[in-house]
Parts: sequence; structure tokens; C-alpha cells
Amino acid sequence: MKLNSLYIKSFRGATKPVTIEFDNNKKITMLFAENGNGKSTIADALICLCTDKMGSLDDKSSIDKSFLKSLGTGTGETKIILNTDAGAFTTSISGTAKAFVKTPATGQPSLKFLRRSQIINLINSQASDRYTALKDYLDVSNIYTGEEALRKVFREVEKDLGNSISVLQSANETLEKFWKAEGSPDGAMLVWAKIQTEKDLSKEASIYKVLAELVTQWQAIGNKQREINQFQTAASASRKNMEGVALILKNLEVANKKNKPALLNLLQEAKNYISAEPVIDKCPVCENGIVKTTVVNSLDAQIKSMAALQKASKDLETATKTHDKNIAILNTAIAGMNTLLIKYKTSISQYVDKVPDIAPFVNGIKTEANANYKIYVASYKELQALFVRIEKSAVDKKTSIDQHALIKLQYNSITQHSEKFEKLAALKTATTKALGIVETTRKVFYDNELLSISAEVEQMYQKIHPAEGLGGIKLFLNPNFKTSLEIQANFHSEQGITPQSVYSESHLDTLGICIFLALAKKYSDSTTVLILDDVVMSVDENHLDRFIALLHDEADNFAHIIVTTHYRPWKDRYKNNRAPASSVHFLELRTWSTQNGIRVFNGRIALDELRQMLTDESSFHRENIAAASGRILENLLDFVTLKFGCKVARKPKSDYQLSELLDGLSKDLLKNFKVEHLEKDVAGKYTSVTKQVDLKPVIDKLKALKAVRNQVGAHFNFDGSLVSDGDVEDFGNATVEFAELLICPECGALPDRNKSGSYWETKTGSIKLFPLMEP
Amino acid sequence: MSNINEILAKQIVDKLKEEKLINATDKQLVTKLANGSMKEVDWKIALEEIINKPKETTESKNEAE
Repeated sequence: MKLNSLYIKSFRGATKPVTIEFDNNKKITMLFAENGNGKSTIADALICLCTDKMGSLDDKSSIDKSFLKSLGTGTGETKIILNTDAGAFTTSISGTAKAFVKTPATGQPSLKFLRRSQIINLINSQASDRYTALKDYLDVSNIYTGEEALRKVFREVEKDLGNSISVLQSANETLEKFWKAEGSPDGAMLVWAKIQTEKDLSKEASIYKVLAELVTQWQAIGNKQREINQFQTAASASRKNMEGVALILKNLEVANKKNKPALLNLLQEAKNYISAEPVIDKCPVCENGIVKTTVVNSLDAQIKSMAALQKASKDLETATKTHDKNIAILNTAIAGMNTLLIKYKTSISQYVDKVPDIAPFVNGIKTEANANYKIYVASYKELQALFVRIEKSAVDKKTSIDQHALIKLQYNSITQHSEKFEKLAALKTATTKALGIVETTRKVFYDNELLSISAEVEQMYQKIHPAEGLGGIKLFLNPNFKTSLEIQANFHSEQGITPQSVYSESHLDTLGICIFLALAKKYSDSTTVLILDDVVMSVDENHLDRFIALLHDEADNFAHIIVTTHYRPWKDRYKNNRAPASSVHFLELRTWSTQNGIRVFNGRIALDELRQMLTDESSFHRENIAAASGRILENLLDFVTLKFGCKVARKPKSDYQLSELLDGLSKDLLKNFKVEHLEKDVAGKYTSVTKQVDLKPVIDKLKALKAVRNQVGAHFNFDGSLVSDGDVEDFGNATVEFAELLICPECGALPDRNKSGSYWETKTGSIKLFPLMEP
Repeated sequence: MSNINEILAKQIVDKLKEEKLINATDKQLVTKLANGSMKEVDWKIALEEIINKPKETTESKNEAE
């Protein structure tokens, strides 16, 4: 996938719409800007478009999504569009949810991004946090979920199998007990059990039913008999009570022959009347003289005698009723007994031939209750003897039927569980194997992944830190925790140490970048865009050059690499062709403001700026040409003198100026100082020399014109004004000539590689610079 | 390249197929395993499918011979 352009509107710093045009012939785009000019807005726009993350906002402890849109813009105005050769990908922020809505919903380029804060998290944090920092790459929790589900199946199957074995064992034991009790017939227990199970016991069951019914009937007769006994006792008691009360009444009646109940009322009223009179001395009926107290006492005695008679009469009535009731209950019971006896007679009549003792009962029972009862009482002994036999027979039949049912149950249980057992055993075997495969594959895969990543990290790290006593990088999971990623490294003679303990901050930074790069590379595809958002803070010149070289070496593994930086030395390495400038699309962001938003400009290398001033007459500016040429020459000569190990007067800061550097090129060196330019063969390799140029005349020309730099390009003085425009142009053109002889036309870098052992060459092999060292 | 879960899921499922523990035509398993939606019931169905599959009996082979 190739990136064409990125359009950002109303997103964070993009207060005005901004479009970044990518040069899709170049794999790397560098966005250089001082802080606060919109680098992270551009990186975040891509992150929000291609992932479900929010870029640098994810680093903040609390996020107000209101500020995803730019200041002063409305909700719904935000839009990010990435145009690629595979189509356009768009996202906007939905009004209510403040979530990114993507079009198309899937298929965005795969984006890997690294920010400075992630490096710090990656290296300095605890092993578990480190795992979290790399979770997007290394997390296999989805596999763990599936593995755990399989483990649950294993446990469940194991439990079910245990239950099945237990059921089978119990059924076998029970069956074996019966089988042995039967004398171990039919050669084998299961053969016997099968035969038993197949037996038809319906006849046995119906016999048992008849016997059980007889038992029930006889028991009912017994119960009824006990009821009758109770009712007879009650009737006898009530009869006795009734007779006693009748006798009392009879005696009272004899004692009060002349008294009638109407008299009792009259006496009562007379007593009330006389008692109520305050003075009375004559009888109100006969008018004979009376004594009040004597008459009242006499009336009292008569009233009491008549009340006892009345009570006895009532008692007799009650006792009679109770007795009548008891007799009625008894008669009902006897009638019930009669029904039972008639029914029982019918039921047992079939046995009369075999048990002649019961013939009197069977033949004697008719319809009349009392007669039947008497026959029953008379035959009780024989009937009870028959019952004992019937009951025993019923118990035997029941035992036999139950045992058969139990045998059948156990046999069926064995049959069913044997089948289930076989399936469970097969499932357990399969589950055990599958779990073993999942566990082993996961572990081996993960270990290999980490080994392979470690090897890649080591290779990258050695490119940045060759022969520095660092490396031996090893990433591994803490065996006690699934999500703890440990890092070990070597430090000179110490092996397997934690690098955080001894590595410098910049060494740890480059280690973090290498780990990230290795992971991004491993899990990248043809659509992977890599973003390095301000990851390099402060690196010395040598390490910066090696890091840049590493980045260019790895560029082919990604669809595109976007680098944002505020670190000017990095930008200047490209600007001055000290890095492969032609392989980088170089953009600069100028000062941001709410009115102008993010402002993007194409950056140019210093040599192109000089060429522009020399070729475009409207751009001719003698002071600028002199100054730019001087800086370019100092850069080129710095490179040359370093590569050749030239002798220059020592200065504390190595800030050598043009004259000092030119003087550093010795006579012996200049004799051998030359370049060869080559052209590509059909295989695309630089093999044929097209041009060989002796550099001494170029250096001599530059030496002759070197004063122009100071007189015109550095200072205000009278002599400077005396220098002609022609000399300034010559100085500029000689500089361009020298630069073009040294700089690779393909990658834009200087010949900084020593592959041959006898000369320096560019990365592409387009230019050879002789000699290798100052003679 | 796919993500690490997808790569590992494919390796696991390939090995299970090699060992004839699951059906070689089942393509859902890789997806479910990779996206973390593989449940107990999915494993059971996948494993039982092979266990319950009628085996190519020697009888039918002999008949063929």
C-alpha cells in the first residue's frame, strides 16, 4: 500500500484544513517541527483513523473528548481522510457518542505507532506493565480463553467419567451379590442378569396382586373387629349407666308419690309470695293462722324433694340417648363387618378345596349380619391360619418381584453406563490430547516468538551499538505469571542482567525503540504504516547516524514509515546529506496558530537551496550563496576528514572551520583523493564506472575561493564588497560540484561505508571514494 | 501478517487436525480461538464430532474386498 495524502479538518491542532501530500516513491516521511506545531496532531489523526485508539490522548490520565475537535469548530466538522493507492479511508466524530465513525468500517491500513511515553513505559515499568505496553503485539489472552474452556471440558469430562465409573461399580456389586446369592448361575453374571431382565413377571405380579388384596381384606376384617370390640364395650357401659339412673328415678318416684310437677311450680310461687310479704299470719287460701318462717321452711323442704326427682328423670333421658347411640354405632360396625365378611367369603371361596377347614365359613356366610358374625367368630382360628399362609406367600412374591426389578435396574444401569463410559473415556482421551497440544503449542509458539523477537532486537541493537559491550537482549515471560514480560541483557562482562540497572538512559531508549521496531516488523504486512512520534530526544552523532541507517534498512518491511521529530540534528543529517536524504520525504511544520492552524512546507536539503540560488537569477543573493556554500563545504569536509582520519589542530569542541578543514587534507591524501561514479547494470547493481574524477583540482579551486565565505558570507567588511559576483558564483558552483561528486544521486547520502577495505562507498554503491585512509 | 492470536490459533488447530482430534474441514475453530470466543460447548462439539463419527469398519472393508 502506498500513501498519497492525508487530509485533516477540525481535528485537534488542525484548526484550518490541512493536507499532507506524501511522496509515494519514498518509504520514509519525516515531519520536523518544534514543539507545539502539530506533529502529534498528524500522528494522532492516523492513529484515530486506522485503530481504535486515540493516540497521544491515551497517555493522559483523563481525556475530555470534546477536545478531539479543534478549537472553535463545531461538532461533526471533524474529518480525516487518508488517500492511498488502495482507496480512501475516512473517519469523522459522531455528534453524540464522540466516537470515530470509519468509512469503510474495516480494511484500514494496519498501523503501528510508538511514542516517547511508550518507550519509558516499556523499559522502566514493572514486568507486568511492560507486558501491558506490548499487549497489542504479544497478548494471547484470546488463546488462553479458549484453552481455559478446553480445561473446563477436561475437568467436567473427568468428573462425569468418575461418576459413571462409580455408578457402574455400584451396579456391578449389587448385581454380583444377587448373582452369588442365586449360586452364580448361567456361567457369567451379566448373562444371568440379562436372562433375569428378560423374564416375564406379569403372572407373578397378578398373583401377588390377588394375595395382597386378600391380605388387605383380612386386615380390614381385623380392624373392624377391633372397632366392634370398642363399640361393644361402650354400649355395655352406657347400658349399665342407663340402668343405674333408672333405679335412682324409681326410688325417688316412690318417695314422692303424691307430688306432681305442677305442684312443684305452685309450691315455688307460694314460697316466693310468702317470703316477699313483710308480715303474714294467715294463710291466703284458707285464712288459718300461720307462722311465716315455719311455712317457708316447709315449702323449701318440699321443693328440694321434687327437684331431685326432676333431675333423675333428665339423667335417665340422657343415659338412654347415649346408650341408643352406642347401639346404633355398634350395629353400623356390625353391618360393615358383615359386608367385609361377605366380600372375604367370596375372595377365599376358591381355596375351600385346598383348605377344607374354611368350608364352614365359606358355606355359612349368607346375608344376616349377626349370624354371619357368629360364623366368623366360630371360624376365626381357621381363617387366621389361612391368612398366615396367604401373607407369607404374598411377602415371598413381593420379594421376588422386587429383586427382579432391582436386577433389571442394575443390569440396565450397567448397559447404559457402559456405553456412556466408553464415550466419556474416548472424550477424556481426546480432551487430554487436545489440551496437551494447545498448552504445548502455545508455550512453544510463545517461547519461539520471544526468541525470534529477541534475536531481531539484538540484531537491531548491535547496529546502533556495535562493539559497545551491550546486547545479549533476551525477552521472556516470567514463568510464574502469564502476563509479565522480563528483559535481560549483557553489560560488558556481566551476563543476563536487567538492563535498567546499568544501561544509560539513551541506551535504554534505543533498546525500547529496537524492541518496538522488532515487534512492529514481525507483525507487519504490506499495509503496515509505522509511526515514530518524537521518539528520539538526544542522541550523539554516531548513534544518530546508526539509528537512521537502521531505520532505512528496515523501511522495506513496512508500507510506509512516518517519523515526527523536534530533534533538529536528526533533520540536519538529512539536510546536509549526512543521511540518505533522497530516500526521505522531508516536511517541515512552521509555527502553529489558531488562525492558521498547522502549516506544512516541503523541506529542502541545503544543496538544493544553494542550487536554487545559483540557477534562479531572481533568487541570487551573494551573501547567502557565500554563507550556504561555506556551511555545505564545512559539512562535506568534516565528513571527509573524519573518514580519512586527517590531522587537524585539536579544538575542544571540534568546531572546525572551512580553512582548518581544507588545511587538514594533506598533500599525500590529495594525490590519491578521487571518486568513481558508477552506473547500474541490468540487474540494478552499480557495476560499471562511468566517471573517474581526481578531486585535487576541485579542492584547489575551493582553497582559492575560500575567503569568499568569510568576506561575503560571514562578516560585514569593506573587503567583502570588493569580491565580485562572479567569484561568489564560482565559489558556489565549486561547492555544488564537490558535493555532487560525493553525494549519491540515488539515496542522497555520502560514501560512508567501508565494504571493500580499500575505499569508501555509498550505501547504493553508486560512488566510490578513494583512498580509505590518509596515506 | 495476522495478529499473534490468529497465527497461534491456526497452529493449534492445524496440530489438532494432524492428530485427527477435530474435523479437518472445520474452519470456524481458528476464528473462534483467535478472537477469544471459543466456549466449552464448541470444544465438546468439535471433539465429539470425531468420536461419534462412524468409524470405517473393517467389516465394510472386508465386504469391499
